[in-house]
Amino acid sequence: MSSPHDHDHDHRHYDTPGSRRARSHLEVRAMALEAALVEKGVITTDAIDLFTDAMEHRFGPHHGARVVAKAWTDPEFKQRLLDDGNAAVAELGIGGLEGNVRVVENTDNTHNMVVCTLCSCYPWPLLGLPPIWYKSFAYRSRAVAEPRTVLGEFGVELDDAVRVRVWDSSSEVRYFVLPERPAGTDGMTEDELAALIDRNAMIGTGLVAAP
Amino acid sequence: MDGIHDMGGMAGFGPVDVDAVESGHEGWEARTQVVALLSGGMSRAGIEEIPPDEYLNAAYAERWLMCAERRLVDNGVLAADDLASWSERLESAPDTELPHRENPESLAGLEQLVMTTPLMREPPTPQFAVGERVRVQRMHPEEHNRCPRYVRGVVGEIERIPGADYRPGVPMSPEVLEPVYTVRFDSVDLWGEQDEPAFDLFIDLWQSYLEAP
Repeated sequence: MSSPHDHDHDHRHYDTPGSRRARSHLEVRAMALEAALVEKGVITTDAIDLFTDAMEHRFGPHHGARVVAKAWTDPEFKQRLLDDGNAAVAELGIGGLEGNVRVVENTDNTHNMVVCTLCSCYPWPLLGLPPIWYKSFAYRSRAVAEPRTVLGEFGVELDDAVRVRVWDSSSEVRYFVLPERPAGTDGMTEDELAALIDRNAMIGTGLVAAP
Repeated sequence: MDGIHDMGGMAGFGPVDVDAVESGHEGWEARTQVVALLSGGMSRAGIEEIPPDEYLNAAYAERWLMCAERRLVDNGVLAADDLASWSERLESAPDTELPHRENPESLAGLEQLVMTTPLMREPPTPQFAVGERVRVQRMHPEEHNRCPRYVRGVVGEIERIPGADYRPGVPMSPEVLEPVYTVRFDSVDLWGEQDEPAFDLFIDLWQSYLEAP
């Protein structure tokens, strides 16, 4: 883990698209909150650093991509992943906060996509923190009512015969999409396959393109 | 509480900005979320109590910040003056160092907490079985809940029983440890016939939200 002091200058800049408040005001408020809590001994700097480092660096879509690549190359692992996602990803050393995962599989007649209409629940260990669009009001409101229109905005066009399955993450279960393996990838190694898989494919707002 | 956060099916937010991925300030956002979580300042109920106009005008991490500021002052963890005086110092002297405090003895436990997957409990005897049809109750709860308006009154089918969890929004006790069900709905039952082909909607619902159809 990095020294706590490494972060001193990271948190001088608070800025979030979508906010209509003055950026500097938000930045100052967030710093003031940390300062007041640490000063009073409610929380400690090293604990904040540990959690922030996990959320930003130790969790992330690189883990999700490893899981998918292994599932594509190891049918027994894939079965374990679909039966008990938590145990299967733990085999790869993956797990943690917000990581109670259920894996749902895309096939030639089923396409899964994940949303959280009430907040922004997301499988942190496998995918890191969610992208801004996942937290947006547009995605949260529309994914459960017109998923194909939303998918079209991501450039995903599905045949009418494909059944869409939308998963609204309302409990502690975190849904994760196992995308379809594209044609033309026979003989590729797990590492080569993992490099093809991006975050959207594991949320269900993307497909994995052939190399 | 049936608040602005319950957005499923609302219209008017426009297309998804699919290119909005990174804010460029993930460090700040993550850090703010962590401060809110570790201090006990974050709760879903607290976020949902943000007035609708403020909620709509704030970004995601900003809502966590608003929630933490309010709750920590309401709970007496901080005084409003603590936040105001720190803000003033940081505005007037931007190079002010933040206080630094360490507790190395706690790190092993925190490491375990962050890297341990929170599994659901085994369900107490479930009232409904996989494959059974259920209706989501009509309700208008004042307390925090995880039952969005768009499924209320609609009949679906139990697809899986992932485990048990405490009913949200009420004090945690053995009496409110309930089976949670993954329920499948047909989009036609939720929204009527639409231009899009019908689809399946899955959502996890606590047993007390459900009734026989």
